[in-house]
Amino acid sequence: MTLQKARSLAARLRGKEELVVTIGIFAFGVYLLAGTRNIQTPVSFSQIGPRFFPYLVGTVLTGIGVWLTIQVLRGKTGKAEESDLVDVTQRTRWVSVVLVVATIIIHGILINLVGWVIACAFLFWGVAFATGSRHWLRDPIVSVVVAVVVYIAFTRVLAVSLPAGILEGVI
Amino acid sequence: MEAVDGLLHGLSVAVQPKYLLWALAGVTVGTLVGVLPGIGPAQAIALLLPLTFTVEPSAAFIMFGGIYYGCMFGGSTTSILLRTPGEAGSIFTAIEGNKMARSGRAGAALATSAIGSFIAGAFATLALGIAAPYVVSLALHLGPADYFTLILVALIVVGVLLGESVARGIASLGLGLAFGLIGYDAQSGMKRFDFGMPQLASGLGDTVIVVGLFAVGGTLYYAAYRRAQEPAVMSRGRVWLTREEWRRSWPAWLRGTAIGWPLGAVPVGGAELPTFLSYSYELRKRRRKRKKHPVPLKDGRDPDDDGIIEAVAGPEAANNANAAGVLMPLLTLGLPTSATAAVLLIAFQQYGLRPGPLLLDSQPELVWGLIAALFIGNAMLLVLNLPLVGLWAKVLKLPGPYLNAAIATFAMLGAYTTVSSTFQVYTMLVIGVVGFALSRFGYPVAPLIIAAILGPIAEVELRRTLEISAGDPSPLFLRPLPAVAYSVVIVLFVVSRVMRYRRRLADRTSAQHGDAATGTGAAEPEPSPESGPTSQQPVVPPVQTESNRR
Repeated sequence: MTLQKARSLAARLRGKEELVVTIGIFAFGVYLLAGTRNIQTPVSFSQIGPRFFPYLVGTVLTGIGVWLTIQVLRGKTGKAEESDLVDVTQRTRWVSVVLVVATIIIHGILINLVGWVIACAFLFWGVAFATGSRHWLRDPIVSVVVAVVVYIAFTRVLAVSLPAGILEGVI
Repeated sequence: MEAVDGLLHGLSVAVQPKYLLWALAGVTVGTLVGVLPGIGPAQAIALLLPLTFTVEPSAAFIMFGGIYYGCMFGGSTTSILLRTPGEAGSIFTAIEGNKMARSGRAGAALATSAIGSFIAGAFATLALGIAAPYVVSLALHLGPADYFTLILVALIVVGVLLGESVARGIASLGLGLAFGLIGYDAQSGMKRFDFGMPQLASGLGDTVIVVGLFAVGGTLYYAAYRRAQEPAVMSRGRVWLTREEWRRSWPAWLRGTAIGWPLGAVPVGGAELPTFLSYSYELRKRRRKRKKHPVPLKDGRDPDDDGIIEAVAGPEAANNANAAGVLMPLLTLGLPTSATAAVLLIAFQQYGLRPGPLLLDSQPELVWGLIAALFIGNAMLLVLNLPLVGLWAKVLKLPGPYLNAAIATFAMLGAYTTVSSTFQVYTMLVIGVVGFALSRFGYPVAPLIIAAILGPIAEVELRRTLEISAGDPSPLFLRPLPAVAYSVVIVLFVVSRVMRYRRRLADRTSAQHGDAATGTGAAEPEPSPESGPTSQQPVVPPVQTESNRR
């Protein structure tokens, strides 16, 4: 019985993935409302203090979250953004998405570990790979060239400081 | 004549060789980035915000101004040759211009849009210089209640009136306001919503929000839904106009300028409305003219099916004039009304500058130098985009994965350099995931960005108002400016609702009669004056707009 119920629920929720967003908005609103009570208010403030705006925004978000959830449940879902470069009618390539996210996380770790140039080359290669580039020789070469050129342009020409890491003294 | 003095002074700043070089660099980068499919000026400038750490303000703004204008020119090239507008203002260029390109007249479309952009840019920049001092002198009389009103109106227009879904627009606004709350309260210094992380005490950072939404969100979106096949680039032919095309183009350029500039200069924002008005006006004018002088068929085809040059020239001019107009509320009131203006405001804040009526007095070199440099850059762009357009067309062949890898690289560079910490890299990633989800379900991103930037300012102005009035909220509504502004917004809202309702009713009736938009109706756009800019769904090509995504 419960399995059947779960299945019919799943069927009813198909195409309503937007609920993740609407419920997220609602939850964020609740978080704001709850967190606002912890904001300290200085005594000197006779008029509205630092809590007024958070209450306002929290109320707007919870309200709109409920409204949108109802809209989505009634089948009025949002229309995905389209362009000539993307085709939103196809299945979401979750693997690619996860690869991009992972690449960025590793990029962050690599910056402190081995320096910005290597981290950047990895980032460029990783994103190119995740978005479908499969040139086994060209991709790494382009990545390294981009990383070195950007590093030199920003550190030497524009004097932005980026950690050289293990390549200290080499570049 | 304050304006003439100012402009001459600005020219004396802008013609210094080093600033000319910055302007040239700006327009070149702008054209290059504008040509890249799906990237608009907001994203381009946002990705280059790290420059503000080391480059002096005048040089940086001259460069950013060049990028802003350059993106407009480059974006037209992409719209015509690839039908992928980088921002909302190019949608109609993409429709009509691409039709011309498909019938082998890409050269004429490119030429009319480049020359039209130049003419509109020149007139509009001049108008900006002339009108700015007057607006500033008016703006000096505005109190906190008036500023609060202007911000609220700008937010309502961007979030509620322009979008397709009112609820999603409001949700986007709300999220932006919430992001703006994170960190110390500007007035009392109390901690708010730092999620227990000391790094968030000073706020999320506008750069991180903008770049995260646009660049990281966009890359994730591309990763998830990229097309197996990249879209085809049209060949372009000779880029010039025939005598007949000149004759048809120039009135459209002037009309476009006249529509575009005022709608940019009043603080309501958005390039959708002026370009739409220009487009529908040119189409209607053409149709009226054809009734009087029927156009002969060419090879059994109606030549107008292959694109109407006026309908490229007009919206292009309107778009560029609008872009210059948008600088007016930004520079004189500190009020960004488009995503690009919002990013420029962030750049000002990076330097500790607050655009507004006092900026013109305190930083005349900067403001007038910027306006003069825009004027010069506009001329450079004509040269860059007419004879050299072939060069830029080659950029279109850059593979999508490399383009996205480059965007991610610059985004992460920007994240890391804001505070030289990888914490921001992860924050930006989180915001990118949020941006991905929002794009996926049709939530507009521009309201979020503008709300995140204007929210904290609005809060300060609101509290100031109530402090001055000792808690009496009536100045918020009863001062002349709020009273007029809110009335206008209410009227606009009611009108737009009624129009939408009437259109739906009309759709339903025509559907019942079985003559719904089929056949020629779907192939040829029939814009009616009473339908909003977003009502063009059947004919608008799939676009990535500035207001939505990267």
